[in-house]
Amino acid sequence: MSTNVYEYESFSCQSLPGSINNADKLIEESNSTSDNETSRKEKNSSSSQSWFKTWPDRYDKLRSTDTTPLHSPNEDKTQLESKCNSSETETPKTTFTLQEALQNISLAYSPVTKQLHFIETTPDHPNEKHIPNEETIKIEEINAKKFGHRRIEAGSFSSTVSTLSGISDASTSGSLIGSEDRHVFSWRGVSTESNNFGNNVWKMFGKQTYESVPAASINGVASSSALIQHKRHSNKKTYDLWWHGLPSSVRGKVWKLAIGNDLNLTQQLYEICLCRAQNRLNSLEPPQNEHGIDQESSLDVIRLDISRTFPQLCIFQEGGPYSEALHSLLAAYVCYRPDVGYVQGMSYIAAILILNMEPYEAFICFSNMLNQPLHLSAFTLNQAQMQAYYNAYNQVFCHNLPKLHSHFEKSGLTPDLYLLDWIYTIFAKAMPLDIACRVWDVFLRDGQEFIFRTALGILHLHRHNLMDMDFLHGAQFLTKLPEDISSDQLFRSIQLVSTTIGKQTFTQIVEKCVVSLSESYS
Amino acid sequence: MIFCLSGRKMASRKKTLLKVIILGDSSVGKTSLMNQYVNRKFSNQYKATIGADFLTKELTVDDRTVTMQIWDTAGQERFQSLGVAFYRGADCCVLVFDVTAPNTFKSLDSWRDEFLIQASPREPENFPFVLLGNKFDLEPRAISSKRAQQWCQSKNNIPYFETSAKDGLNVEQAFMTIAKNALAQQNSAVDLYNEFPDQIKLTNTQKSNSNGDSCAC
Repeated sequence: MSTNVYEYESFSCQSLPGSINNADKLIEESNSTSDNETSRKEKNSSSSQSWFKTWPDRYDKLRSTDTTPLHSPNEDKTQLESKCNSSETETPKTTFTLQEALQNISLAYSPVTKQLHFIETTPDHPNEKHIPNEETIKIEEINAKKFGHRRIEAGSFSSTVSTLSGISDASTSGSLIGSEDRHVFSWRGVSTESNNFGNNVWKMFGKQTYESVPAASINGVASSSALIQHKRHSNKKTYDLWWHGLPSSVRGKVWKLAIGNDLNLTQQLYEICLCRAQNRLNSLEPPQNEHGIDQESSLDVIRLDISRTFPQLCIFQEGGPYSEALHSLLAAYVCYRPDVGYVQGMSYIAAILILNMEPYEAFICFSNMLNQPLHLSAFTLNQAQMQAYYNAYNQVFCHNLPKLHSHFEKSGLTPDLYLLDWIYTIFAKAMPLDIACRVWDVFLRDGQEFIFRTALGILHLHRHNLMDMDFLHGAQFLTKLPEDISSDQLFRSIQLVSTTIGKQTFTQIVEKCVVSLSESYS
Repeated sequence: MIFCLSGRKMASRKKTLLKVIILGDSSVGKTSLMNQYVNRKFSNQYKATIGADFLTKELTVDDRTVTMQIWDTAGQERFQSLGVAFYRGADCCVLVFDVTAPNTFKSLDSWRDEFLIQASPREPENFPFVLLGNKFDLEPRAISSKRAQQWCQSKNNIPYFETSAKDGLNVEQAFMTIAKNALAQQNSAVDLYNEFPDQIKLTNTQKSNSNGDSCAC
């Protein structure tokens, strides 16, 4: 990372403050002790609220700490720590490596003010906590109205975060950041459903009410996540840095933010799904297939694939440290989406996430990733849609590498033979793990078309070799890429290919393919 | 011209390509069998197959050198629907089950039917299948030889082998039978497959076939 040393004034990658992390841990501890102190009723209300509220969970944690009537001594530590950080940031001309900066500083670059800002953990509005449910809903409505109003203000980041030189009024900045967060994540509440989850957990997501959640506390992570989301489109430097790969220590954090949580999943949901899966696995009775589309029976085949996921790492082997976590995640997913169920390939995606974050976070990311069009089509085995993707890819392939394309056509090496594996596992199976992770970095930045771009990059990188191979050697080569592949060379090749043809974006090409396919069928 | 006149002879001397597809439930040992046969290696560390993996092996059958192209497929039942491209043009289909796992034996019917539907050979009743009962080295045994053989008899006498991909037991013999039956299949009919354009069939095979045809005229 030595090449990634930046003057901190020009440093533009998002901060994911380590101090907040530590604060989380402290608060976690304080939660466990202060739970006893708070009344049971309040505990219930806060848990049911956070049920429909949303990830990030640390957001809830901070909030619930704030809620406790007793002043938590740990909070002082938190503030102390952030002060430490602030004093650290107040020495200008310090240089940071990307890694240090990402981990240690509560900094955020505002593209609007073109300044670095220090993000402070602000205390919450105390009066918001003890209101009974009906009133909360009223407040929600009020906030929903404000929400539109505030949207106009969303551009003025300087008011939402304290600048480097001065620390701004925490109480006003609080609500602003809170609302900004909602813009970014488009959180939706399911406020009335929280009590009857029992049997039909997943159904809740079918009938989401589009009420906004109460304007609530903020924390550094949530607000910096707002910035990171914002900057994904606006700041070139972050964008460029991202291309060169994320440091593995922050990879999980950045991935989480990049994936987002449009589905509003929570840790509680994960635990409920997991519980259901365990009951299902423990019961000896055969599953009841009332709906016909129920794939919960695929629970049984998960076990077979756990130890066959990254076998060389050994950690997913039976009895290995992450074997249980991987099994749990996949089983919970099957219970969350019985219409999709388990499909081979999922275990690789889940494993990569588990390697980078906590199990429930991995579950949330996993579910959200699989909800994207490409993977939803793939894992629901929607052949027509997949064919459209293959056809679109074929066009782009022909556009980028016409010679190799015609060679593949002649030898009968159709895209589905190698793309299938790459799409279903997002290169986790075909590539060495570290390079796959780098591909994931940019895949999560750029979206599904990066899978196809990477595919073209691989073909570009090996085009000379591939020209000399017949069908079988080509297929063999592509399903098991060389171990000594250089990530820099690969990314150079990826840079040289493009998934657009003229002014047509890849998505447009896919759409055209869908249309032409449906025409040819009818 | 000379080539054309001696076309039939050339075709027989020329490398013959056999496409063999391995089907069966998840984790019965398809990849292991293929690797034991081709590389004479066994590993506990195979990754679950997604889509298909490919290996080739050259062997001599009745003084003919043939190249066996082995397609190893994903075992999850739900992937069957993706099989069209994989199954079409196969010369022999190897069905695998795990002798210690009764469920893998029960699904053999479904694998066989699915293959016949998707590959749609012209004479489905004569299409060569070979059945392998793998993990012979493991205990406890759930499917007896007798039961497996009965199933084979009911399906027009499919050859049956009990194998161990781990020890290599019977693997060589099984694949030799597979090769012979595939070759017989290829010789008995020039084109067993229906009129749909064959996307995955190798140009090599097609060329040798058409050479044979033109000379026969």
